[in-house]
Amino acid sequence: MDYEKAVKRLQQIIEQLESRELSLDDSLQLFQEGIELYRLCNKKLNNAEETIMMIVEENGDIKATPFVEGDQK
Amino acid sequence: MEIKTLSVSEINKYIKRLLISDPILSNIHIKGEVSNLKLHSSGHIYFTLKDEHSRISCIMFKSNAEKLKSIPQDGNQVIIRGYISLYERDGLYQLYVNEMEPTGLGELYIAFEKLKKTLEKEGLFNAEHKKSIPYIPQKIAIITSPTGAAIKDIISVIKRRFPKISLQILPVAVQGNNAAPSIVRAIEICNNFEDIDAIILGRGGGSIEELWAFNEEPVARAIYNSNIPIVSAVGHEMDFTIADFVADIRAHTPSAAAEIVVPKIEDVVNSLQALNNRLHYAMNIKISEEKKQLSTIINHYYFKYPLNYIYDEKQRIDELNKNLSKVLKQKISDKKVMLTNQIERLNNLNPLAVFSRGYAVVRDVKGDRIKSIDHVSQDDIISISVLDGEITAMVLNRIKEDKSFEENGL
Repeated sequence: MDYEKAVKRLQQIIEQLESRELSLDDSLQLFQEGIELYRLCNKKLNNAEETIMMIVEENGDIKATPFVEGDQK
Repeated sequence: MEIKTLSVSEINKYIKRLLISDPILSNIHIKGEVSNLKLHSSGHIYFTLKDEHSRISCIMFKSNAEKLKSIPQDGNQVIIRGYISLYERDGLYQLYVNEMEPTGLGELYIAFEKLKKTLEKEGLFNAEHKKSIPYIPQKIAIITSPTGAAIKDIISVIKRRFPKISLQILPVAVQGNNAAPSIVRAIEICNNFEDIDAIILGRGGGSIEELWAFNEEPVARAIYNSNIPIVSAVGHEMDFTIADFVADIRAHTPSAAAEIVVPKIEDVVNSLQALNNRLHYAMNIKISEEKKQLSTIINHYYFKYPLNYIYDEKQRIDELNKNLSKVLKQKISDKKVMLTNQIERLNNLNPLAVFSRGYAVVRDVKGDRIKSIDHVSQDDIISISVLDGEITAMVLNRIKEDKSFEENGL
């Protein structure tokens, strides 16, 4: 599930909980799902590697090397 | 014979005379590429005009230079009207520029309009085709020149806004003949990676000739056919290149492109946190409501003193019981009274009472009751029932009498 979908579902859950129309059991279940979604979103935020790579094609091969700023070619 | 020797000044003067009197050289049109242009504080412009093989020094006096619509830049193709003469002091011939106009520019604009119309008709600019970028991209490709300000700006904006991102930089030529193919190839390579969320395609500002690669058809088609959304940042505020029209999003500058593609991490974290708070708050409210309800039930009188329910009911039963007995007794005595009355009435109707008063029932031998003297004859055997038994008798005599009988009492 991507970040946007997760956030949308989380908002849905919150609205349902805030409506107070659910039974206690259903509320607890949705709450659990909400917590999972929050964890998922948090993970996605911290997940991506913080790398900068330079991609160059040499003789038909694609090579990736770390990008050093000021690296003039 | 003496050979006449000339001085340097004399020879220069001679050459100058030759040059300026030549009809062709005194009014010529030359086209070439501007380079090494220097705008002198005096207002004169000095530059070199060149082609692939050769070059010539040029000077444009202030009086002519002022009339120019814009100062040409190094690399511009121009058409010049002027004359050739000699700068005597240095012995150098120069092209003296009267008028100068950019050339090739007109052709470029025509080509631009034509391609733009064609591609627009084909639908390459259609809004429906444009793709959107994920809110949190995890991998971004940047296609630009590896040198220059554009790449630095993009990287610094991204690092500032959302550091946790993987960047892939594909260095390309952004002008010249190699530019278009290298850009096309770079877009291709990006599309072969599976996990790139967005591409920033950009370069810094420049003249229309410098940006020309972004107006070329192969680049436009490569952008259109890319499965990954492309943000074009061809740094040119006013004019759009064709790449800008085809791209999924257009940014004014490379920095703006970075801002479009990448959200501010504080904003994202804050809004996620706000959602989390709302989630917990709503759940807590729900739980305390339920607790309150439960407490109301538990504090109910009968919950607290459950036996009282039984006692109360017991009491009710006892009372009902009492009532029942009372009612029953009353009923019985009522019935007794009734019964006594009935017995009395019955007694009054009891034929045996009649018997006790001396009346008897007389029957014939058949057992039928005799009510009249006509029923019997003399010497008949009759039976007489009295209170305590039966008497068998014989009729001795019959005497008729007129009596009036009353029905009741018998």
